[in-house]
Amino acid sequence: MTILDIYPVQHNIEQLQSVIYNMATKTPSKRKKKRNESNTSSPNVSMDELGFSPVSVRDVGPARQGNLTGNPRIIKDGAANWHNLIDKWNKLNDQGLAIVNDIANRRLAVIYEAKEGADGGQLSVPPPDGAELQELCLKLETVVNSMKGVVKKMSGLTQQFIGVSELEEYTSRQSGIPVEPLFQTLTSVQFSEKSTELLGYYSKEIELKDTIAQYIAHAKQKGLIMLYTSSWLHQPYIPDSASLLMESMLVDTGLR
Amino acid sequence: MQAESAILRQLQKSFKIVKHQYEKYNKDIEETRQYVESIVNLSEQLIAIKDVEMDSTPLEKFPDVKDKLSGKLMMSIEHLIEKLALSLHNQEMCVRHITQCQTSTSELCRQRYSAQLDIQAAMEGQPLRPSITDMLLWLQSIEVAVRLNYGERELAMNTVAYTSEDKMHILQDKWSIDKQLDNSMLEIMARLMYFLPEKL
Repeated sequence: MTILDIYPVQHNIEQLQSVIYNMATKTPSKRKKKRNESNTSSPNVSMDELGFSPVSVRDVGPARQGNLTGNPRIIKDGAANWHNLIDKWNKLNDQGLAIVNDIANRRLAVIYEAKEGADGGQLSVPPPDGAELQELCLKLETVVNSMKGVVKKMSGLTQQFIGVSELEEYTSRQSGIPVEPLFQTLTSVQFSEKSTELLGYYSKEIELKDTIAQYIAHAKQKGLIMLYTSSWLHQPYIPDSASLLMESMLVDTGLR
Repeated sequence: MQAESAILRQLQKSFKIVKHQYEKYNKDIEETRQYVESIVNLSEQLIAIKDVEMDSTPLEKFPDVKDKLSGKLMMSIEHLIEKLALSLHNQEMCVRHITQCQTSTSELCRQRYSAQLDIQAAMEGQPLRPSITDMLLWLQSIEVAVRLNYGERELAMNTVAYTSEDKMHILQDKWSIDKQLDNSMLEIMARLMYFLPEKL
């Protein structure tokens, strides 16, 4: 928004410059005080003289400090929990990757040996060590189950965010006052949207990981094994923008 | 005599710069080698998943997984390639400095002191320093070898294709310290061991 959008009337440049100068030099609190006192802009040039209507600007300060209560408290705690859950997810993903790599290497070794045996006409295909592979698969299953638990908690958080946003929207409809940002820029609706988007990514990713955990030990092609391993590592359903979403929530709530 | 001293001073200065720039050049290659390894690894993943038939695999219920994964791999490769490009720029700067040294030394010999320089004296070495002609030749050899080495790496970078194993292996091969060049440099610097710190 430009200054001309705010004051779209005939004016002379000097008066306008004076208004801008006063707006820039006054501290926000002083400005607020002045606005409350007289509903005019500056001591030098009154709005009435210029034919301007007073502009009400929401005082957007730094993130709320001190003991929060109510919805801001819920959202801020929720954002912190989101961050912790993603952290936990990443740790579990690393644990799982080590197991997936181990399984993939065993499978690849079996495939190569089978190929060599076929080429050389020898029967040198040792049966894979079923017990060890089984143990690895069980470990991977445990990791995936823990990840499912994380996603379940993410879902709970998202429900909480949606609840808060619906409540705020309801209150807003009742009072006729539009929903305002909880902290700096994001409204509760936007928090719930971001949370839902993040949940969508992680839900899809856990489905993929579950499939990988179920089938990796049975894969018979090198390419497919690579696809499983690479998918586990790079998490294709979690785009890079997910971290941006998370960061935006943390920054807005003042946690970052 | 004046010409000889001036050329020796210039040679000493040039070799000091060349030595420093060459060390910087190699350090840069060594430090960025890990990126090349990562690129090759990512490229292998990209190639491996490219040919996988998704139908009749458990992943058929994720039809977009290959595209999404390829996108992520490509982005990671691009990110690393950017780092390599930056490193290549630094290496180019080193090569330019080395070329500049060689050019300025030859110009000094040819244009300014060619008439005054005693060729016989210039061809004779001293106990603690090689002859001027030898040093000029070495300087030129170093410059040519380093420029060639850089050129090969630049070509490998410019023609890199993420889904071509051959191109990736060329990049991997070229992005390493040239042992032959390195040995030549060591040999030359060993011969200049007493000349470089000498006060002229």
